[in-house]
Amino acid sequence: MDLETLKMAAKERQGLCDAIKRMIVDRLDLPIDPDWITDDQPLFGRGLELDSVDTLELMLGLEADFDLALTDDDRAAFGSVGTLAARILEERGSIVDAVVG
Amino acid sequence: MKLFDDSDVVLVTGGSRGIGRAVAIAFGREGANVVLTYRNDEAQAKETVDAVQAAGGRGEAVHMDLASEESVRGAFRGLRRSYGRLDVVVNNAGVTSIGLLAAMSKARFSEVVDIDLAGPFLCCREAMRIMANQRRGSIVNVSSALALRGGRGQSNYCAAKAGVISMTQALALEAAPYNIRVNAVSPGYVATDMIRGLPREHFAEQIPLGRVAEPEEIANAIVFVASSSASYMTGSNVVIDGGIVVK
Repeated sequence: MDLETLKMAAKERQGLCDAIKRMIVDRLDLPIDPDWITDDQPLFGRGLELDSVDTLELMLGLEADFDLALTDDDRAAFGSVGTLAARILEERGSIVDAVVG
Repeated sequence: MKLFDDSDVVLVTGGSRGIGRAVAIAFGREGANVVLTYRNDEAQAKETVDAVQAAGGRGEAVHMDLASEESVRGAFRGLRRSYGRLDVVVNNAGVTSIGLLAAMSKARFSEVVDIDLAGPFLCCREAMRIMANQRRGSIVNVSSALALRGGRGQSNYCAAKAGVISMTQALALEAAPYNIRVNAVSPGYVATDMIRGLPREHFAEQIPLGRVAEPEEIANAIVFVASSSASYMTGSNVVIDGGIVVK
C-alpha cells in the first residue's frame, strides 16, 4: 500500500476517533473537552470511569451516529475509543481495516 | 379526533392477518403510517396494506422473520432509514405448536419460545434503540389470557406468553426514564386462524360472555393502550378475554 493511501487511512481513523469522543462527551454530558480523551484510554474502570448505565447511552449513540449495533456481548469493542473506531471501520469495510487488520 | 397523526410511524409484527391485520387497519383509521411485517405470505400482506390505505392511513409491508436476529435488525434499520422515527411497536406475531409436555420435543418447545418470546425481545431491543434516542415511544406486547391460566397442550405457548408479560414489566422499568411506555395486552380466544377448525361452541361454554372475540375488539384496545390516551399506563397487562381469567 502506498504512502498516500496510508495517510488517508490514518486521517479517516483519526477523524472517526474525534467524532466518537465528541459523541461520548455529548451523550454522557461529561464536563470535559473531547480532546482530553486519548484514543487508547480505558473507557471503563480506571480511565474515563464510565459505568454500566453509560454503556446503554454509548450503544444508542454508536447506532444513531455511526450505524454500529452492539450488544453486551461486544465488551471488547468498548475497551477504548480506538477499539470502537476499529470496530466501526471493520463494519464499514474500510481501507484502514485492510491496512491494520 | 384521531388518536395519531400522519407523521406517526407504527410497526405491527404479523400484521398481514388475524389480530395483526385488524390492528394495522385500526391504526390506519386513526391516521398513522403503518408498517406491517410478514414472514411468508407477501400477497396477503399487500392486501392488508390496501385495507390500511382504504381505512385512511398509509401502509407498507416489510418482510421480517422473528426467528432471525439479522432479519429483525435489518427490518428496523430499514424503517429508521425510511422514516427517521418510530412511535409505536405492536409485537403481535406469534405461533402455536400443540402437544402434551411429557411427549414434547425440545425442538417443538424452543420453536414456539423462539418466535413468541425471543422474537418480541428482539423487536423490543431494536425499538428501544430508536425510541430511546427520541425520548418517546410506546410498545405493546401481545401476550395471551392463557399465560395467566394455562392451557392443555400449550405449555410452550403459555411459557412464552407468560414470559412476554414479565419482560414487559421489566422493560417498562428500564424504558420509563426515556419516556417510553411498555404494556402488554392479553387476548382470550379470538376468531382467527389460530382457532380455525375448532367449533365455536367448544369455547362458548368456557367464556362468561359466551362467544369468542372478533379481532377488531382486540385491535381497539391495542390502539388505545398505544396512544396518548393511555399516557399514564406502563408495565400493565390488559386482559381482554370475555371473562375467562376471572371465571
